[in-house]
Formats: sequence, C-alpha cells, structure tokens
Amino acid sequence: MILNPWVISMYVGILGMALLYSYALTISAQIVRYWDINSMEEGQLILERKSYLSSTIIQYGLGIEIVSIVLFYMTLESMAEVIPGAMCATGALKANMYGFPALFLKMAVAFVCAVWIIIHHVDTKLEDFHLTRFKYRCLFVLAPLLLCDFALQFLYFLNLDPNVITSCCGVVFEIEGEGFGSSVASLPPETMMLTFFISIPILLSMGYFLSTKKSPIGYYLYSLFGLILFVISILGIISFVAPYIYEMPTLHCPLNIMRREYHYIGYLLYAFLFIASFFSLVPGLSEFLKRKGGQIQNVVDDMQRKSIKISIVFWVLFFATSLLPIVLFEIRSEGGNLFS
Amino acid sequence: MIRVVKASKTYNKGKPNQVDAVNEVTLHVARGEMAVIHGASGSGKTSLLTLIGCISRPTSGEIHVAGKTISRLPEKFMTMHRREHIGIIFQQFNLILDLSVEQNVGLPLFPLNMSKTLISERVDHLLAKMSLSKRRDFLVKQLSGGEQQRVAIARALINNPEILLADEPTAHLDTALTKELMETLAAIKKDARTIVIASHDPLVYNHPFVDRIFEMKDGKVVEE
Repeated sequence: MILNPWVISMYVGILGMALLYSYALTISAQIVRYWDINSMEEGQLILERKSYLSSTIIQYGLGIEIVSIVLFYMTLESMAEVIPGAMCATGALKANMYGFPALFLKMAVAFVCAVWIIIHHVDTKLEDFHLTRFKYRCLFVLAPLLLCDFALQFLYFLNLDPNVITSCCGVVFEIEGEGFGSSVASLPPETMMLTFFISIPILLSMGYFLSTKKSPIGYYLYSLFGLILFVISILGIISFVAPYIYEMPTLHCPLNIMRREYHYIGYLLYAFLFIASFFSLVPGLSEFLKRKGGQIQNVVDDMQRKSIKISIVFWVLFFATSLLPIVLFEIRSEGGNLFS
Repeated sequence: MIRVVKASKTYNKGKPNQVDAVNEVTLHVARGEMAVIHGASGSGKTSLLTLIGCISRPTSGEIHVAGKTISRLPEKFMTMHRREHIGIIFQQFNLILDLSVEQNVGLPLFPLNMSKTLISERVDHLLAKMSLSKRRDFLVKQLSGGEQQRVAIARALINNPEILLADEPTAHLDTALTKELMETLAAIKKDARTIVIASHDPLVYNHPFVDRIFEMKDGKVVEE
C-alpha cells in the first residue's frame, strides 16, 4: 500500500462519509418504518424534524460524493508519480484490477446520487410530504452502491504496489491493442465526429421544443437522449476530441487532457458534460415523479422548463469546448486533417 | 380569517406527565375583528396562540389561518406562512437587546431577500407611526419598557401582516401604557387587520374595540 497525503485524505473522506451515512440511514430506517403523514402525534413531528437533519446530511454527502470524482482523479495523478510505468492517472488506474471499476462505479454512483438529490429537491417543495417515504426507500437502494464504491476505492489504494510496473495511457488506449480502452480508441474518428456533431443539435432542438411546449413523452425522450449523448460524448472525447487536444492522432487518453500543459481543458469539458447530463435527467425523472400524484404536478412543471434551459446552456458550452481544439488545429494546420 | 375546529394540543401524550394544553377548542375570528382570549394563567391561552400563529402544530383538529389549512403543514411551510401573514407580539417582547431599534424592527424582513433600501423605508414608516423615530439608532436595552413594547409592535407589523397576535402584551405595563397600547392596537385594527390578544387584563378585554372574547379554562373555551 502506498501512503501519501492524497491517499490518506481519501481514506479519511471515505471513513467520514461512511459514518455520516450510517447515522443518516438509522434515521431513514425509522422514517420508512414509522412515517405516518396522517398522524398529528408528537412522534411524527419528531420524525419530520429528524428527516430535515438526515436529508441535509445525505444531500451534502451525496453532493460531496459527486465532487469526490475530482479528488479521486487528483489522487490518481499524484499516484502516477510513484507507480513505475504510469505517465498519468490512466496508468495509475491500470496499476491493479480495482482501478477502472472504481472509476466507472464512481461515475455511476454520481448519477444515482444526482437522481436522489432531484427527488429530494422536489420533496422539499411539497407541503404534503408526498415523496418523503419514497425518497428514503430509494436511499436503501443507493446504500449498497455507495458501500461498493467505498470498498472498491479502499481496495484500490490498499492494493497499490510500487514494485508492480503498470501500463501508460498510450498502451491502454492503443488503437491496435486489446481491451475496452483500445476498442474505444479504435472507433473511426470521422464516424464518431459525425455522430457527435449530429446528436447535439438534435438534443438542442428537442430542448427548444420542450421549453416552449409541454410533452410528457418528450420529457422522457429528452432525458433518455441526454444519457445516450453522455455516452457518445465520452466515446467522442476518447475517439477524436483528445487527439485534437494533443494534436496527435494516436494519443487518446481522456484523463491527460486535464493537465496543466493542456490548459486544464479537460476539467471544463467534463464539468460541462456532467452538468448538462444532470439537468437533462431532470425532465424525465420529474415526469416519472408526477405519476405519484399529490402536489407534485404544480411543483415540477416549472422545474422541467428551467432544467431544460440550463441543460441546453451546458450542452452548448460542452459542444463549443469540444469544437475549440478542432478549430484551433484547423487554423494552425491551415485546413489539415489530423487523422489522414 | 381564523377558524379553529376541535383543535387540541397535548404534550407528553401517554406519559405520566401528560398535559392537555388545548382541548378540542373551536373558535372563529373574522377579518378585521379584534378578539381576546381571556383566562387565568395556565388555562391554555398561549398554547392556543402558538397554534394559530404557526409556531406549533396541533395534536388533533383543524386550524385554518389566512386562507390556508395549517394544522398539517410541515414546519418549514408553517414558518413561510407565518412570515407572510402573521405578526406576533410576545409576552417578554423577545427583542434582541444588543441590537438597535432599527435592526430589531427590520429583522423579520431579512429572510425575505428584500433590498436594504426597502427594509429601511418600511422601518422608517413604522418607527414614525410608533413615535420611535428619534430612538432609531438606540440599542433596545437603552429603552424604557413602554418603548420596548412599541418596538415589539413595530417588529410584528413590519411584514404587513393580515393577522396580529399578542400574548399578554400588557403584562409589564402600567395602566397608562396599557391604555396607550390598546389605542395603538385599535388604530391597527382600523387597517382591516385581524387581532387576537391573549390576556387576563380587564383593561384589554373590556376595551370598546374588542369584538369577541373567548373565555378559556383548563385548555377549553368555556364561553364566548
């Protein structure tokens, strides 16, 4: 095991979050079991007050969970300096079998956390506590995922061995290599560019239509298409955006672009992408929540319109940021083709 | 404006120290009326006032205040309803002694994200109405009891409430100040505001501007 300040801070973070969640889950269990909205007894009032505390803890905990992806990346970068063979975070992730699963799970958990935060946000606006029990039940689905996330991170850092030589990102994302990274890197860049640059205007058009007209099916489709576009975008970053940033057709690493020598453009790309995807999820999820009845209808209509507008803004920003290195390359090379 | 239907408030229910502070109370106060809840100490006046004022929730029954059923509202929404529709004058004034008169009066407006200019305008207007303009920058602890009382009224009126609740407002006042207070409340009533006062002071419940008197005993309204 390698111990450095970053790893220790990750451990402390995991432990702290686990303690907070344990406490919040204890309260959640009481709420799921004893919650009775029709009761005016003191016990129900105490539960309502406890629910404010636990949902606040959980909301901030899950928020930190989303932000912790950045902390995880920074820890990997610091690890890359001590792991032989690693040139960047990708190499550090490849150092043992837990690295990439930990990253993928962390991203998945971030989305699930975002979904919970949306449900909680709607619930806080309802005068009839219509979603309270549902939201705490959801938490028990989320808890095993969080546990796996903590466990994988813990195992990853525990099994880091400075004597084991790892692969650099050039090998992980080698076009003629094997594995997931190579499969994505070997996708034809022209096709990926076409898919990417057609998908975004389609989503934006859908968004524009939905921000002016209500359509329940449209809201579901918008969220679904947002998720698909998230996957296309990640593949697009690996396939052609990253090579344009490096100005090297064979270098596809999606993490190196976050480094200083590339003006931290990766941070911008991923921030815009995650925010856009998050707000794309809101209309569909809100539409699903509407089916639960109560006062939800009145609350989510406005939320759907706002979230579509915000997602449009961030998709445009993501689109522009992705386009920037391509345009700059075209200007510098006077119309040259990177992949020819 | 205020409708209470069989409302009860029980503390420590089912325990040896159970207290039925309010017991199946039903009452109605229309818009623009001044009502007095009269009764001895411990009769449940303050508890009833806290129920109407969205400070606590009843154990059973229904309470409708300013067009909304508040008896089952979550505390967060009760606070919002209180902030918008209700002003309260507490028995002990509950002023912050180390803040100025201006700061105390303007305090309820801070959570409403109002501009400083607008808050200042409203405070000016109310201080003038309460003859406190010259005390604007004084710390509350430097004021007399009567002046503190008027600061408490100004603070209760700063959110322009439809309903004004006062809990034993004359408890710390002499006869002259009590009469002065009642004249002030009568003037407020003329603005079509509903006023509910909990008091056992004859100068209050015998005042000519009082429209209704509810007699409370052991948590029940025994007479109207």
